[in-house]
Amino acid sequence: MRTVLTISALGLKDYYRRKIFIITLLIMFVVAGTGLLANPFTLGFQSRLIRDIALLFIQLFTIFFALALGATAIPNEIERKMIYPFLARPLTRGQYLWGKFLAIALLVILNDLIFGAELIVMLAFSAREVHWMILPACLLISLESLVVIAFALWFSTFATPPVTFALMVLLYVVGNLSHIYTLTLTAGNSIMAFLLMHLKGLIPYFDYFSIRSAVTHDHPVTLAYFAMVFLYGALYIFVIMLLAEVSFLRKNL
Amino acid sequence: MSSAIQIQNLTKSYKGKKRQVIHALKKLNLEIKSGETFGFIGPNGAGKTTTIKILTGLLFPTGGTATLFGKSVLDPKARASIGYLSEVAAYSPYFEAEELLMAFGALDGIPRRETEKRSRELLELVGLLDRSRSRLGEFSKGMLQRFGIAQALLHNPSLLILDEPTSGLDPIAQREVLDILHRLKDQGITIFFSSHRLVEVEGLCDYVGIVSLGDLIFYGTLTQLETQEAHTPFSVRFKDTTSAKPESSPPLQSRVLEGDMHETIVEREMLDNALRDLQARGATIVSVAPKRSPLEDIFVRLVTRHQRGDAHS
Repeated sequence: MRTVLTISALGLKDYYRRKIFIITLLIMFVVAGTGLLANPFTLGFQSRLIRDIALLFIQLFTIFFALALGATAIPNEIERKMIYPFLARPLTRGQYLWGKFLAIALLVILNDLIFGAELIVMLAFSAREVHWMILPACLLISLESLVVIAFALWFSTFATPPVTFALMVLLYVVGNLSHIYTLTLTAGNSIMAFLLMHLKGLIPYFDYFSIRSAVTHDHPVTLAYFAMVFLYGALYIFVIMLLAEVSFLRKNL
Repeated sequence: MSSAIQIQNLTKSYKGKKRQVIHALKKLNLEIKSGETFGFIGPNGAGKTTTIKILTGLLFPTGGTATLFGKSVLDPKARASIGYLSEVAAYSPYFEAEELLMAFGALDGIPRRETEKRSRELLELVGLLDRSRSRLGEFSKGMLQRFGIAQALLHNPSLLILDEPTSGLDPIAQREVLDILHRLKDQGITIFFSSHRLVEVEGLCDYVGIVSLGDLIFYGTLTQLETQEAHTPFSVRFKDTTSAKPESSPPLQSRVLEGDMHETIVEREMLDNALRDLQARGATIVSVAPKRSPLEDIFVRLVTRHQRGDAHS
């Protein structure tokens, strides 16, 4: 565990010093901008609009951020040969991979917590309402991103970053299609329907991670739902990271 | 003496373009004993880095076995006893020298206090103690290479594996790195050192292995190499007071060194005749000594012969 934590701490420091948090600041401005955008509307509607748009921005940004970091973390280190002094030490490739995962995961969670806190504060000032549900919504976005990171790390162990990126976009699009929409989309094409339905069975249904609609419209979300989604995400992360480990284990560097 | 490295029938093949199989290593056999300094020499693409990457667990062999102190290289624990410096010392430019050594110490399982002490000792050894708080991005190539040696030595390894440690360095930086290696050799550390220049290992390595196109074409000491490649001619220096010249068909002409001092180079089999002729003509023979062929010449001759043979076969 000490090995994994050391690698993740190094990864986090590296990202921090690469001034990757500038992107975070940029998104914070965008989130703040949603308040201005919603200004002309009535107070109740304004609050809902801010929550809806800001959470959508946070989700899109986090997924893109996670994907970019996940797809490039390992290939970049191999290409720049920075991985050599690490893997020539008595640690397993699995430990290295989990360390990298943890570094990106912590970065993503930290970002989402900052965005969530900013959104709560902004709403408290502009609409005089405190929406604590924004924080769990942000944490679920983080969980969704962790699944994305795990997939991106796995793909990056055998594909180049552009291929990983393309595969991830495909995965994310298919993973967001609902069952009914998939059936409608493939109506009349039985082969396509068969392939897509089976593919969907293997990849996560990303919509489970989004409670944006509930937060926007003040609908309650039960604790059981959070627990189920957490287990669902954790299971996916674990299985995909195992696949990544197996793939990375015999990779010639 | 126990084996630090044992390589048996080590083979590595790749699929190249048009599905052509490229043999980077062809049944390589090698044994390096503890305490030895071994120079692994070969031209670019000979298989040196492939061998080193297999030893350090970065590449997987297609055949054969390799062990480090009796443990298979496939076992990560085998790497606990080695220090490795890659051909290109690449580290994140955002870390300070001491900070990264602390992290490497944690990965090596060394207690924090001990890593702190050891880091300072090693940075002093490689002449970087005054730069311990500098970011690696500010280091020159030579400094990075010296830092690389420090990180490789952090956990007090019994075996140091260095892949072309002086490659791309200016002569001063090369000298600095070689001086460090001499000091480490004196401390009794086993060193496996690759290079594409034979002269570099002279005076440093106990044994050398010359590799070409994935084959080990020579293993032994430098003296054995020179003896094996015995084209060693003799330098005969003589004072020419009578315009004497060895005329018994010497293979090389004489040249004036200084004043009436001359030198002629003759092959071993012609030496007796040349000396007799010189004496008969009244020349005063000053010295007869074997003229060492430059190591690079021996190396080039050996490798070229092997590559030609490989091309014909």
